[in-house]
This record gives sequence, C-alpha cells and structure tokens, in this order.
Amino acid sequence: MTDAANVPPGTLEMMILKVVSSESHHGWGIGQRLEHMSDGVFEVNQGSLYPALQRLLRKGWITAEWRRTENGRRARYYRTTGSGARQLEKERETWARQVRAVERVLKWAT
Amino acid sequence: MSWMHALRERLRPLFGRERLEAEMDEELAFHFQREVERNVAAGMGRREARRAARARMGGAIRPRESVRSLWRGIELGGLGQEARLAFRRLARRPAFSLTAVVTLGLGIGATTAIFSLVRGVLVRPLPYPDPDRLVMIWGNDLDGETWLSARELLEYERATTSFERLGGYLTSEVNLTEDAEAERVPVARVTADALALLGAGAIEGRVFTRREDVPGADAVALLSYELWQRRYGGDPGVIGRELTANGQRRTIVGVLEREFRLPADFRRARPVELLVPAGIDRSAELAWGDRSYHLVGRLAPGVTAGAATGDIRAAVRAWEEAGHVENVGGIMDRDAVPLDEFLLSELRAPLSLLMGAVAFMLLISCVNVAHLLLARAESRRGEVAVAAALGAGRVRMARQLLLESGVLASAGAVLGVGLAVLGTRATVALAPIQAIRLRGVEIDAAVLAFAALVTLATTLLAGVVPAFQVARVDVARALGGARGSARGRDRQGVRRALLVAETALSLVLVVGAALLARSFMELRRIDLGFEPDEVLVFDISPSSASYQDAARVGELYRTLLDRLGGLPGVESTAAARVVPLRRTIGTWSITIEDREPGPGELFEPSWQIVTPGYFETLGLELVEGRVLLDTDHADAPPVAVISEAMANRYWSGENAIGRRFHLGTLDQPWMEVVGVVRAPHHNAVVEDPRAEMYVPHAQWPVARGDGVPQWGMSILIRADGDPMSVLPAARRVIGEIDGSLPISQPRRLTDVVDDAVAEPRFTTLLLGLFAALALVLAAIGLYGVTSYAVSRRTNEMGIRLALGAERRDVTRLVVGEVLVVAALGVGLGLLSATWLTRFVSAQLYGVSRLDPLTFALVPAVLLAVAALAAWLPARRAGRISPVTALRTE
Repeated sequence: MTDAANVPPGTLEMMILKVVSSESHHGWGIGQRLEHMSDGVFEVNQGSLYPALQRLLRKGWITAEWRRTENGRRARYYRTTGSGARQLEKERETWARQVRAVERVLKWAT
Repeated sequence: MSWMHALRERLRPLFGRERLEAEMDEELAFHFQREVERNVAAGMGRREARRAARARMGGAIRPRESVRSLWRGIELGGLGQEARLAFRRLARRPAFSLTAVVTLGLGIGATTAIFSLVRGVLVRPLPYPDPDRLVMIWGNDLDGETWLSARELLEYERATTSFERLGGYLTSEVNLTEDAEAERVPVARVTADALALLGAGAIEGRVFTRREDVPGADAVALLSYELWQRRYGGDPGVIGRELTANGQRRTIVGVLEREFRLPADFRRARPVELLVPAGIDRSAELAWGDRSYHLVGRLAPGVTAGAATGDIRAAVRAWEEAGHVENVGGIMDRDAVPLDEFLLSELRAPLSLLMGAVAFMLLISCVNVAHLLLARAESRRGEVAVAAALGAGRVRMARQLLLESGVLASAGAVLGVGLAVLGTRATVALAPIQAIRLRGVEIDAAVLAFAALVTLATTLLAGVVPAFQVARVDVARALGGARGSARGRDRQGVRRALLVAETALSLVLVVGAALLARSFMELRRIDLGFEPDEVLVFDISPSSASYQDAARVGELYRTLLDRLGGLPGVESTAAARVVPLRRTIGTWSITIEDREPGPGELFEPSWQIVTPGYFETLGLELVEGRVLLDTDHADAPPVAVISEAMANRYWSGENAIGRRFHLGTLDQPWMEVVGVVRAPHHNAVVEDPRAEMYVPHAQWPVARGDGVPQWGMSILIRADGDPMSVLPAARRVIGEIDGSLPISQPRRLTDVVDDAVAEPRFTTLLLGLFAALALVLAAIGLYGVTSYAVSRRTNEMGIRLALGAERRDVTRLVVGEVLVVAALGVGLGLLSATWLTRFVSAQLYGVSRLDPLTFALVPAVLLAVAALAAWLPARRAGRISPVTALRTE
C-alpha cells in the first residue's frame, strides 16, 4: 500500500457519491471502502476526504447524521440524496466518455 | 428536500460556527481512533500505530484547515464571511472608506434633519379638528395685523353664509395677584364660538359656554396647561377656585388641553395662558370702528376660502352703501385666509430655500460617493484581472465589489441616522420659528427612509456598474497594456462628468450662501434709528383696579422712573407704550388742522405714548424743534413730537413745528407739534420711514379726549455697562413702590434686536454650513480624481521626467488637467446660479441676486480649492523617481 496513488482530480467526489449511495458510511468507513474497492490503488487522504464531504453536503448531494457505530461510538454517517444520485449518473457518463477518449488517444499515439 | 439541506449546510458556518468546529473535531478524532485500531489489528504496537495514523492524516491539522478554508467561503462562499472580508478590505483603506461613509452620513443626516423640520412645520396639520376649514379674516398684508371690531364680527355673522361659525379673540396681558407671587401673564378674551370652532377641549373642568360669554355673566376663566402646572402645580382641585386678574376676581372653570393654542400663539414668543370670555354685548349698538379683535372662522362644508372672501367683501360693500363704514384705500378689504397659509406665509420662503439647499447636498453626496466608488473600482481592475486569470469566479468577484458597497452603505446609513437625530434636534433648537409649532417636530421616518434609500441606491449602483464591468473584464487586456485603453478613458469621462456636476452643484450652493451672508451683513448694518446697546427693557401693567384714574397712573410712572433713574449705574429711564422691534406699533386716525385728506388719503400715523426720557434713552435723533419735557405735564398745553416722515407726509414743503392735530375725528383737544425726530425702525428691521407721533404719557388721557390713561407701558433703562445688572435693583424698587406690580419679560434691547434678525441668521447659518460641506465634498472629489490619475500615470510621469521634464512641469500638468474639469464645473455652476438665485432673491436685502462681488469671488474660491485639492496629490507626481516609475510597467 505504500505505492498507493492519490485519486485522479475530480473523481473523488464521484466515488464518494457511489460509496454512500446504497448504504450510509462514516468518513473513515468511506476511506476504507474506497481503498478496498479500488484494490488498494487509491489511498484517500483525510485532507481531501473531509473537504470533499463538506462540498457535497453544501451542494445537497449527500446528507449527514450522527449515529452510533456497532460498538457504540458516535460517528457521522453520510448518505447520497436523490439529487446526489442524479449527479452521480451524470458524472459517470462524463467520466466514461473521458476514459474512452483518453484510451483512443493513447491507442493512436502508439 | 436536498436543497434545504444544502442551504442549511451553507448557512451553518455563519450561525453555528462553534458547533461545526466541535463536530469536525469529533469526526476527526473518531477517524484517528479507527485508524489506530486498524493499525493495531494489522500487528503494530500502540505507539507505532498512533504514529502511523498521524502520518497518514497529515499531522491532523491539515484536514481541519482545508475544511475551515471551505467555511471561510473561499470556494463556496458564506455571505457573512465575504462581508467580513469586504469590511477588512475597506478598513485597509481608511481614507477612502471614511470619506465615503462620512459623505453618505452627511447626505442622509442633513437631508433628514431639514426635511423633518420642514415637514414638521409646513406639512404637519395644525392641531385643530378639520384644520383645512379654518380661516382668519385678514387684510392683504399677512405680516401686519388686522383688527376688527366686535360689531364687524356680529355683522359678518349676520350677512355671510360661508361660515359654519365665526369667532373672535383679542390678546393682552394681565397681572395675576392672588396667592402666589404677583405674575404677569398673556391673556386672551375669546368668544365661546371661537373656542368651539377651534375644537378647544378641557382636561380638567370644562371650557366656557355661550351663556357665560355675555355681559353680566359670572366672571370665569380658563387656564392653559402651562399656567395650571406652573402656578397651581397641576392641582385638579383648582376648578371652582378664584383667581384675581387685573384686580378682577374670576372663577376657574377649566384647564385647557396641553396642545391647545389660539392661532395667535403661533406668532408669539409666549402663548396665551389665561382665557376669559369676550363678553360681547350682542344687544347693544356697538361701534363699527372699535377694532381690537382677530377674527377666525370655520368654513361651512364645501365652501372654499375664495368663496368666503367674496362673501365677506360683499358684506363690506353693503355696509359701505349703508354708510356704516368707509373703505378708504381698501383698508376694509379682508380675505378669508386659510389658517395654514396665515401661519406659514413667513416661513415658507426660507424653509423652501433650505429644502432646496439640502436637496443639493443630497445630490452632491450621491455624486461624490458614486465617484469615489467608481475610482475605487477602477483602481482594482488590475487586481481583479489577476484574480480572474487565476480562475476566480467572475460572479464572485462582482459580488465582492457589491458587498463592499453594501458595507459602506450600511455604515453610511448608520452614521446618517445618528446625524439625522442630532441634526433634527439642533435645527429645532436653533430655529427661530415659534416654539409651539416646533414642539412636535421629530425626526421624520419617511424622510429618513427616503434619504437613506437614495444614497444607498447610489452606492449600490456605483458599486454594481463597475462590478459588472469587472465580471466582463478582459483579462489579457487588463493585465497587459490596458492603462491607456479606450474603455479606460470612457470611464474616466464618466467620472470627470460627475466631477463637473459636483463642482457646479457646490458652486450654486456657495453662491447662495454667500449672497445670504452678504445680505445678512447688510441687514446688520442698517441704521435702526436707535441705540440698543446697554438698554434694559421690561413691561409693567398696573391694574385699573388699583390705579383708577389718570392722575394715579401718571403719579405711579413719575415716581417709578424717578426712583429707577436714581439707581447707581443707570443713565436714563423712560416708559413707552411699545418698544421698537419688540411689539408691533399700530396706527390711530388723526385730524390735522386746516387740512382735508385728499382722495384715498388717510391721516393715520403710528401712535406712540412716551415719557420725556424716551428720546435720550433710545438715542433718537432730533431733527427739528425740541423733544418732550417734564414740563409737558397733564395740565400743560397738549404737545406732540412727530417723526420726520410724518412731517414730510402731512406738511410737505412746510415747517411742521407749531402745527396742530388731534386724535380721532371728533373734537379732541389739539396738540401742537414741538419737535421732529427720526423714527426708529419699529415693526421690522427693514421698513420704510413711518409717520409716527409721540404723545406724552402724562397728556395722553387729555389727548384721547376721554381721560382714559395708558396703564401698561414698557420701561426702558439705559445703564452704564450690562443692563441686566440693574435688573435686581429695579425689581426691588418696583416692589417697594407696589408689591403687587410684576415685571414682565425683562430683556436686553440688543437681544430684542437680535431676535428680529433671527430668521435670516438661521437661514444664513444653515446655508453657509451646507455650502461649506459642499465645498469640502467637492474638494474631496477633486483630490480623489487627481490622486487616482497620478497613480495611474506614474509611468507616463516617469517617462516625462526621464526625458528631462521639470518636476514643477509635471505637477503643473496634473493640476492643470484638474483645473480644466473644475473650470467646466464652475462655468456650469455659474450658469445655473444666475437662474437659480431667483429663488433666493426674496430673502435678500441690499444685495442683488446677481451680486458681482459674489459672482466673482465664489468661482475664484472654488478654483482655489480645486487647485489645492489637485496640488496635494500632484506633488507626488512631481516626486516620482523615473526609475521606480518605469519599473512599475
């Protein structure tokens, strides 16, 4: 995990939206999930994670509430809202297009 | 609703900052713990686990900081934070910000104060029910006095249909002598109808009725609220008690409402405090010519004042045809003057003038602020361009400019409200307007709102326009060589135009103020015909009950003046019926020996009753013959001194000395003219020489023909030094002679004269103040624009200097450019002033509204101020080091 990369710019928020779309998670949990789901490729820095969560809150794409964890500690849980889900779809398409474009370029260049 | 969550999240940094911090701390602490736990689970020691967790979290401070910066609104913007930033940016330029705030404050404050005064005095309805229907029956000259006889009142009632009711009152003074200290108070004899039509109400007891307003009814009296408080301590038990007014006992039947005033009170320094029934004898054959009442009427519903005027004039024509009256020279022509107009005719002109001036002030304030903000926006173009190039949102940049304007506007409004409150109080305190009318003048919320709105709108507008320009700013051009761009010059043009306008507006105000000041100086230079310095004046009025006949009254005044004259520090003493500029002098018809009045001619000189010391005490100039002497006593042949104007009018081309005339038109005894003096200005500071006769007090009862003496007189004492210093001794002496004889309204004659010019002084003072402020504002504007131009053209100046220009030349160049703008403004201002001064001309005395001196000096002063305002920053241009200047490119 030492060679883990930071997430590509602009994709962190999209991935957070995805992670908390089916189930709510607290900040640490979101980081863990991102690492696991990306097979340890992404390491999420707290310095980007929490500001990203704040931005999403302000845009109304996620909500937050304080709950108890399974071992009884208070934590803040985040969950995607309806408009967040729509935003996720939009970003997903954009991202897919971009990836295809990048790959085409790379193909031509070789 | 997700947008509501979003909104709440956005607002939280403003209102719940502490809670937010706490939540973040808790969240990060939780994260840290989980991180440590995970590391421990992965097999690390606890200390090692913690160290690794900290490293991963970037020293724990970093996430916190980045979240905080979010809250601070750098990226998503909390409005409060931005406002705070705007405030900080403004605080960094205190000169600019203070100027803008003070300008706004002055504009709002001055406007509100003056408009409040004007609305309070001119617009606020009079304190009577349905005041629009109240009229005075008055002659054409509203400044003069129109007295009518009781007979005329009754005949008007009979002959006209325009009035629901007519009433009359006459005012004088009485001595109250029972219980408390002897006191002299203003009294009014009022018809019951007058009270009813004015809507007088009593807070204790009742007002008197028509049944009490007939001769022979029980003597009753009404107290004013003030008298009730002062003399009876507001005791409700006063109803039914008796008081003694001029020796007559009267039963107190009521206390008037505090707000109640007779129309006469609005024109007097001291309102009436005691009201007694007029007691007109409706069954008797009353004399037509015994004129002493002021008539007030309530119009019947739907009748206009104009119609009522027609009605009363028709009545007068009928009387004339019946031979009851003679309308010589139109003296019987009366109008039904709406009460409002009657009371305000004198005030309207000066107050309107002030209102105009203050409107100018408001305009100047707006222009100045607009101008300051535009300059500021200009100077920030570079900064804005850099920010835009670095990717800052343009909308946000514009919003910041707008916020700055908003902060300025709010601060200005706060200052404005403060100044408005103070200003309103100050103008009310200073205003020479009858105190009663002003009592209710308060800061006018509507006016305040208006002034605030206008200035704030200006501020925001001046903030918004450049803000939009910023939003559109062309980054490349702004960062590159935009200094001399065409658009830049356009904006300079707008600001120059504003400056021209500001200079012009200031010029108009300063010209107006200068004209008034010159006029006021002329007014003070007028030779009043008497010497008011070191003269004390007060009134006494011995009651006819204690001094029943002429002999006793004469004896009293002889003793009194004799004793007063013997006091240390007293140079001379006299008594006079009315003192110049203190109380209006009236006219009395006379018959001149061997002369018949020509068509339209009236022998009606002003009548004065004096003791021999009058001429010396007032310092009147003797033109011919002699003044009155002690030897002109009651038993000596009747004599009179007359004024020069009277001599010229009635005996033109002849010597008046030795001629004879008598009072009235019957067979009163002849009086021989023994002397001619120059009459003092009596009713106003500015007046034409009046025909005036001076009858010895001792001979007055004889001259009148019926032996009735003049009881009430004003005492004049010429002292050596401050006349007030002899007042205690004078009081003592009078007390010794008659303990029940009060002194009323003691004053220095100089103060009396000052009061006579109080209104022009007030107007002049205020206008002068406004003009000075306008000048300062214009100077600030000019300073600002020069200062800005210099900083913009630093490199140009550098090049000029590098190419060998003298520093003086550079300074002169800059000053010259500003002076061109100022000169344009001055020219425009002069043009406007030649037209606008027509509104001042009614207020001017002895100065033409196009006074050459004023019109030459004021532009010179304005240009000098402009030159100074430009020179200060221009000096900086001269001091520029060429190297630095070129490096700034």
